[in-house]
This record gives sequence, structure tokens and C-alpha cells, in this order.
Amino acid sequence: MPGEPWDPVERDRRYASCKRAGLRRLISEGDSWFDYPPHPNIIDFLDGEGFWGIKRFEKSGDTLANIADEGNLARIATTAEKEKPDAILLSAGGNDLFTDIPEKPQLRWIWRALTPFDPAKTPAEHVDQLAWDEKKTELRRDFVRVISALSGYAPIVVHGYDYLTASGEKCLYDGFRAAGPWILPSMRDRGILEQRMQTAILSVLIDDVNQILAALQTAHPDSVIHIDLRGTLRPGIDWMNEIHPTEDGFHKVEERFLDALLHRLPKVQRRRPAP
Amino acid sequence: MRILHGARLALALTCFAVSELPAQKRVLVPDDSIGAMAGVESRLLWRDITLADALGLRSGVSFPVRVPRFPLQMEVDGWTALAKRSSRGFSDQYSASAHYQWVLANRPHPKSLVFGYSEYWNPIRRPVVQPSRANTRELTASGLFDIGIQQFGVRTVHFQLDAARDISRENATWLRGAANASIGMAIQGARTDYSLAAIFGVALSASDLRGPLLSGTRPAFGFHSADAQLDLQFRKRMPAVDASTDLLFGTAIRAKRLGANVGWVALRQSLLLL
Repeated sequence: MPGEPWDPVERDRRYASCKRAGLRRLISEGDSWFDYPPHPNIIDFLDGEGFWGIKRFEKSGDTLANIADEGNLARIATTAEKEKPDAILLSAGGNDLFTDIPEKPQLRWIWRALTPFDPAKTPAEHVDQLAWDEKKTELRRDFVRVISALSGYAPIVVHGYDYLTASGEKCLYDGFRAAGPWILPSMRDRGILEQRMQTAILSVLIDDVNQILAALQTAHPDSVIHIDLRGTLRPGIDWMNEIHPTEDGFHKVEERFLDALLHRLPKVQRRRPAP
Repeated sequence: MRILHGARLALALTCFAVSELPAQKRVLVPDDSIGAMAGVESRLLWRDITLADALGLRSGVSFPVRVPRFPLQMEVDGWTALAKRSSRGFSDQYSASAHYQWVLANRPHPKSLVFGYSEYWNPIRRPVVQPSRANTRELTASGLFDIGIQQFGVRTVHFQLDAARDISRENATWLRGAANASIGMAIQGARTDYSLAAIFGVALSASDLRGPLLSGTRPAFGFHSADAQLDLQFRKRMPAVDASTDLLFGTAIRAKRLGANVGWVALRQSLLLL
């Protein structure tokens, strides 16, 4: 009987089985989009395609800042050196917007990126440019750190999420551990109550994150594949809570990954120097 | 002519798209493993039949054998009584099995059928009635399938249906339906990951196995046992080998022919080679 799909040991066992079956290899690292406990996520679906064995390092709740830590990158680099993966899949950056902040212990970092509601302002003007610029600089620096450390082993496949939703829905990890909501309390605290405005502000943030990744792909075309997931998930239908898709939603996202791995990755691999 | 050109263009585009696809083939990967296990149990049970009503040693190794197009998982298991060894019951038991897993659906909700052949030895048993023998063999078939209940955040419930037919000693049939689910958490370290889990399982079985009543007439096929098990599992993920420590608590309500209802505790250590 197969073991528990969230269990790192079971994931190792599965990876060993896939290698014995002669499958090609991938490495994955990231956050809950790759390691969502309540239902199957992107990597679970990708693992079921039967094309690749996937050595998994991801952990729900992980931040890009943590992933870009020197020790963590060294651990993945050691594995990549040994396993020779076709690509390294990375899902990161989202949780960096939801870290704890001392001035508002009950809220998350995204509160700092918002300005108090003003009906005369556009959605973009409700984003605190100084705070957001600082965060974008951090994100760009950490993505570059990951690319610099790992892209010598294989192309890095990244995504910039789809448009998050300020639904106020909590996440029930394992059916009983509640987490979130991550966004709506900060919006309310800033007086941003209208759903259309909330959605538009979140679109500004997600567009910017995707711009960072698209620019990195342009700058490093042999090292980075950016999957633009914007518009993949139907608002209000494919979202389980504020920051996680439903099982069907994750499957849709996985199909975008599959498409990139089957059609875009070979072209990038052909351009890269032979190992 | 226009239609013809349109058709040609479509054909050309199709050929181009196909040529972009790498020559990769989908593979349905069986759940094989290379591992070893040893543990002590407060009483030795096999399918809720008492082998020895005393402390026992459980051991086992498993490894895959890759026959082309026919991957097999081989297992060798041992049940060794550490006290109250008796030649009048089953007592020590050793088995060797070969399993073939036919994967019907891949992950994340896998479904598969597993077919097996097992050979059992009860080396210290001295049968008093023929044709009872110290060894036997059986054919097995299992259906494994997983479901998730997204609305309640229940990731996976494993279901398993087992059937076994003894084809040598008892010519008996054993059927079981089982389900298990778990809660747990993973803890990421710098070089080592850990996981803690509580796995709860229930099972209901029916059979016409005689159990310890080896010389009696064959019982009618019917209730065999109902059991529940709680497995508290601690696992450590390391670069080349993963280790699991399991503390298990089990209880079984058994048919009268199998003896009184029982409870047991076990501590097992297993290693998984990667």
C-alpha cells in the first residue's frame, strides 16, 4: 500500500521507484503550491503524469528568502549534481508577502504594501510604492540567488501565481489546523472594503511579481522558464481559499507546467552547453 | 482548392506540433521499494490468528526484481516467537512472496491491483493430523485505491481489498476489506527531514481458515475478525537511507474458532534504501 503522500519519506520512496522504472528526473523546491497538505497540488499531479520522477524539497509555508538561504541552496545543488535533473521547479515568493510583522501581529506583511483607502485613488495608488519596491528588490535578489546557485545544473522553471483573491476563506490544514485568512484582514484594516478594489490591488501585486520573473527569463533565457499562470484559475470557482487553488485548480495549473516541460524545456535544453 | 490548402496547413501544423513533443512515454510506476524491517511484538499474530501467545520478533526484507515488462516485488518475512514456542500451534512462521502490481491509475489518486504468490513455512510445527503440513502456499490478489475528500481537508483515505487462497495445506479462502487514514506533519531540517504521523486503520475479514484448530472440520465461510490499529510513526529522511520507527497498538475481535479477542503492541524499525 502506498504511504502518505505528504510524507517526505514516502516521496523519497516514490522517487526511487520512478528512477528504477527509468523515468527522467526533476527536482522541485517551493511552497504550498507544491506541498499543499489538504489535497493534491501541482507536483502531485505532475508526479502522476508518468514522465518524471521528482525529488521533492518543498515545504508548505516556505518563503523565497528561506529557499534562497545558502545552506538550502547547497543541499539542492548537491542533489542536482548527483541526480542530473531535466529541470528544477521552483514555486516561491508568495509567502514572502504574508510574513509576520511586529507592528500588526494579527496581520501579515501585505498590510505594509497597502495604503489607507481613498476613493479618489486608483488601485495602483493604493499600493505603498516604497514598501512594495523594497519587497520587489528582495524578491528579485533572492530569485537571482537561486538561479545563480542552481541554473548550472538545469534550467529553473518558475511561476508567478495567478490573481489571488481576498475571500477571507481560511485554510484547514489536515482538516483541523486552520490558517489564514492572509489578505482580507489587512484590506479591511486599511479600509479597503470594496471587492473590486481588493481584486484590482491584488492584480497589481501579482502582475509585478510576474514582471520580475518575465524579466529574469529575458535576461537568462537559457536558465529560466517563466510560466505565466495569470488567468488560469476562475475567480470564485478554482480557489479553495485566498492563496490556494482547489484540487481542480491545481490540476489546471499543473497542465500549464506539463505544457512548459514538454514543449518549452527541450528548446531551452538544446540551447544550453552540453554538461 | 481553398479547402485543400486549409487541410494541408492543418496537417503541417499537426506534424510540427508532434515533432515538438519529446519521445517520452508515460509510465505507470509500481510501488516498489528496497527495505528491511525488524521489530518486537507483544504477541505474534498473522491475519489475527495467533502464531504464538508471547513476545515475538517480526522481520522482513523487500526488494524489486525488474523482469522486463513484469516488475516484481519480492518479500521475505519472519515471525519468530521469543517465548512459549510450541510445536502444537503454528508458532514460528516464515514466508517468501512475489507480487506483481498492475497500476490502473497513477497518482494523485492511485488505483491498482496486486497479484501475488506466497510460500509459508512453520518449521517447528509438528502436525498430528494429515494432510496438515508444516508448509503451505497461497495465491493472493489485492485491490488498492485512494480517495480524497477535499471539502473536509481529508487528503487521502486508503482502501484495500485483499483475497487469499491457500492452495496447499488448508485450501481455505480469506477476504479482507481495510481502510486507513492519517494525520501528521513534516519537519524540515538543514540536512535531515523528519515526519510524525498517526495512522489509524480498521479492517473486517471473513474466511474459512481453521486457525489453531488444525485438525477440526473446516468451518463454514464467515466472519473471521474485525480489527483496529493505530500506528504512531516517526520517520527520518536522510541522503541515502530513510528510517522509520513505528509504535503500533492493535486490537482484534475474532471469530470463536480463532480464540479470544486480543490486543497487541509492537515496536518496529525499518530502513528504506534510496
